Amino acid sequence: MLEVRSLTKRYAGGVTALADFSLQAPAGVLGLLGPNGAGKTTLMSILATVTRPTGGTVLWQGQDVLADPHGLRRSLGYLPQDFGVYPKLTAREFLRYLGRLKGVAERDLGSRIDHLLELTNLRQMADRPLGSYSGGQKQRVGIAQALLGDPRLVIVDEPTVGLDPEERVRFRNVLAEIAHGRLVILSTHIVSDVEAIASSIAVLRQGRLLAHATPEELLRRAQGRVFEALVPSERLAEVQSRVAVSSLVRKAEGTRLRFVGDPSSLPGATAVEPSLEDAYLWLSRWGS
Amino acid sequence: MASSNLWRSARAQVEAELLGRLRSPATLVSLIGLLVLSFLWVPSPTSGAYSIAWKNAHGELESGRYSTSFVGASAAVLAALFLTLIGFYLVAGSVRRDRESGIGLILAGTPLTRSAYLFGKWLAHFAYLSVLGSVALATGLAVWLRYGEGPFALWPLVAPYLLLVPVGLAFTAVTAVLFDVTPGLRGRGGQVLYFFFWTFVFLLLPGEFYGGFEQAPSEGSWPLFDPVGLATFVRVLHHSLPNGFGGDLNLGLAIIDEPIARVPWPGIQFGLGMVGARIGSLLWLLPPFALAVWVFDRFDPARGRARSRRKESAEPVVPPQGTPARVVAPAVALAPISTSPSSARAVAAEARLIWLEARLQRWPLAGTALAAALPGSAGQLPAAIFLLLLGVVLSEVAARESLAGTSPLIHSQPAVPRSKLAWKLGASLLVSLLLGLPGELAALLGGAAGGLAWLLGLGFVATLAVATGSLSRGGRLFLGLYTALWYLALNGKGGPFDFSGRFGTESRLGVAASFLAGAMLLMLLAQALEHRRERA
Repeated sequence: MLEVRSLTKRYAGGVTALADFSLQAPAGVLGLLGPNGAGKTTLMSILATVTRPTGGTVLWQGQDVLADPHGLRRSLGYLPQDFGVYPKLTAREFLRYLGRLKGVAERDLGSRIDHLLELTNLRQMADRPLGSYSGGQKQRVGIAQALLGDPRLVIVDEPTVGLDPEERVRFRNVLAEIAHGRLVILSTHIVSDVEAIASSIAVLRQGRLLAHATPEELLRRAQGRVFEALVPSERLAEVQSRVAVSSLVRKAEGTRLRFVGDPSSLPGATAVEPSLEDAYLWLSRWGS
Repeated sequence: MASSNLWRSARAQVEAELLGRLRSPATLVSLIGLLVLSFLWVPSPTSGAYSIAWKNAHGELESGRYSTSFVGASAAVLAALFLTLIGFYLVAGSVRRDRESGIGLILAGTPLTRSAYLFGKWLAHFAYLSVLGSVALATGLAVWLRYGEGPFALWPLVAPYLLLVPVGLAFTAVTAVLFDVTPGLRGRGGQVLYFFFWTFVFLLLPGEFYGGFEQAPSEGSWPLFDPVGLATFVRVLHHSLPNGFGGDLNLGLAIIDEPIARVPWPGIQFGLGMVGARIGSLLWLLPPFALAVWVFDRFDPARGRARSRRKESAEPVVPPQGTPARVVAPAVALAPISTSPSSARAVAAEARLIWLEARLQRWPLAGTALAAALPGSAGQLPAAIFLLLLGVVLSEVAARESLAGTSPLIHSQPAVPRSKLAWKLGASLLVSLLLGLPGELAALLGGAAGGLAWLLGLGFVATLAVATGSLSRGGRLFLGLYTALWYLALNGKGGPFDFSGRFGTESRLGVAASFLAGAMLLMLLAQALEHRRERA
């Protein structure tokens, strides 16, 4: 469905956010993982046709997106990382405005908005001005607008920020459900969000693609690289400088570490089954 | 210790605000506007135009010779009048910006007190306006070099400025702070209200209280409340003119056919009473500042919501028995839906949004739009107020996305045309023309030229709003420039500022066309910059 070829983005200040980035994504949920500044938001912004790249090509269903951004916009549902709302408008008015900009027919617009307000648990406050909404409620309005048209490509950047655990699970399920026949690109720092629903995961670092694989493949790559060890608490700082610690638990006899890295640095360390978070840690630190 | 902290925090705020504002394109446009206005304000002495004139004790019209003192006084009056009016629009909104950007919440977590924060804002406003004011002063010098007569002397050039302007800027700055922190005044409603506040409280009230501008002032003390300084200026003229001052002070660029006597003006004779009154009038800054400190919620959302919470608690919502308070609907797949995005629909949606967003202004706007249909002079005032309100409603259209942070949401929509400015202009024109239809009927009754001038005027307001909104990424620059122009057109009862042909008795098609052409040039500049921004 989506093909990205040699995408590069250099900002005016000389910062390279993306460097020769290539990727192919079929229908399903594509999770984007990477540390801050890895280029995830720039990539999503380019895919959403908001930012123009310095070089490269983006093809959506075979069509060149950079030559004709409107072609992709007709299929797009986009939730940016940071977005504002018009505080004087109600959620219903705001969604109606966006629905018109998406070209949703007037006869369908009301029912579609009602459906999405229900889906995002906003129906009871739909006629209150958006200025009175909390951060999580605004985020839900953002989610509703991303699903307002009939998007074939859904791009959501950190969508679960500000949502309570119940809403997070709920939104994850919505994304998983709508991904049939569509491409959902989900960027997040929360590995468990993509672990639950992603059919493939792309890991970025410094504007480059480190890996693009299924979650199972990423787990397989991390096999034999994740360990647990009991470390005296006074050695903790020194050990942490040598390995990537994914969790630690204080105990009476010391600190039990779970880490990714070379086991020879900690004699007595035992190999354990990796989690996706371990795999991500290993890739983002040692992957190339 | 406390006072040194106050100064340190104020200095930090002044630096931050000044740097931010001086780097903004709005400042450049304001400086250019002020520069042009300053040159126009002191016309060639042979042109038959004047900007300051009065009647002498024998009832004869006089103006001053272009000595350094008179040119200095002209520049000072211009700066006092326009920086107290336009300046408000340039500086207001600073607290609101801190609130909306989240910086306010960060500041609220510091030891910065409410008074220290607002004092810093006041000082930053004052400093910025002083930078702009210095342009008027520099232009005064340039004008003197071109048209001036007699020897050059620095003090007579600068003295009127020092007497009139800083006090006015201090009042403008404190009013901006007060409006910014007061719910109901911090939005566009406050921006409309300020114009009337400025007219009645800053301009007319001191004039009326201290003898008016139409007659010679009565003897007595120097004005103790005179933000713009015009009442003080009238008294200065009264004390210093060689042929006496008979009143009827005229301010504003006007052209007269009869010859006007230009008399030497010795300049301001400073006295303790005059200087003391100007300095003493600064005490009037304290009540609005204290009120602002009292009203300011220090970005605490709980204070702002206290009223609505009380209202909510008065009407408790009781969930029905046996159902959970929060119903979580199951996730439902999206049904297919047909979409047909088009630029026309985007323009219509934007026009609807302009109407929706103008919650406070839309009914007065509709009322004055209808009243503008009254023929002849009966419809003149409603038409003028309609044009003012239309400007307010359109002021933030071009910058709405950048102000609200909705750019990525909106600009990724399929119906939004490639040229965002064309889209915004289309919607603004649609709103202007629909609301301006009744006025068009009345204008047509006066002749085809009147009808066309009104249409050009509507086009001018929409084009200028979109162009300056895009250039400055805000609405305040437009409001400042447009309100000043509107005031000149209203005050001049038409003449060279009548951009719509409805302010005077005679529609000047050429004037309306010139204004529209100027706005279109600005639009081209805005489009070029927009294109550059997109490429970056």
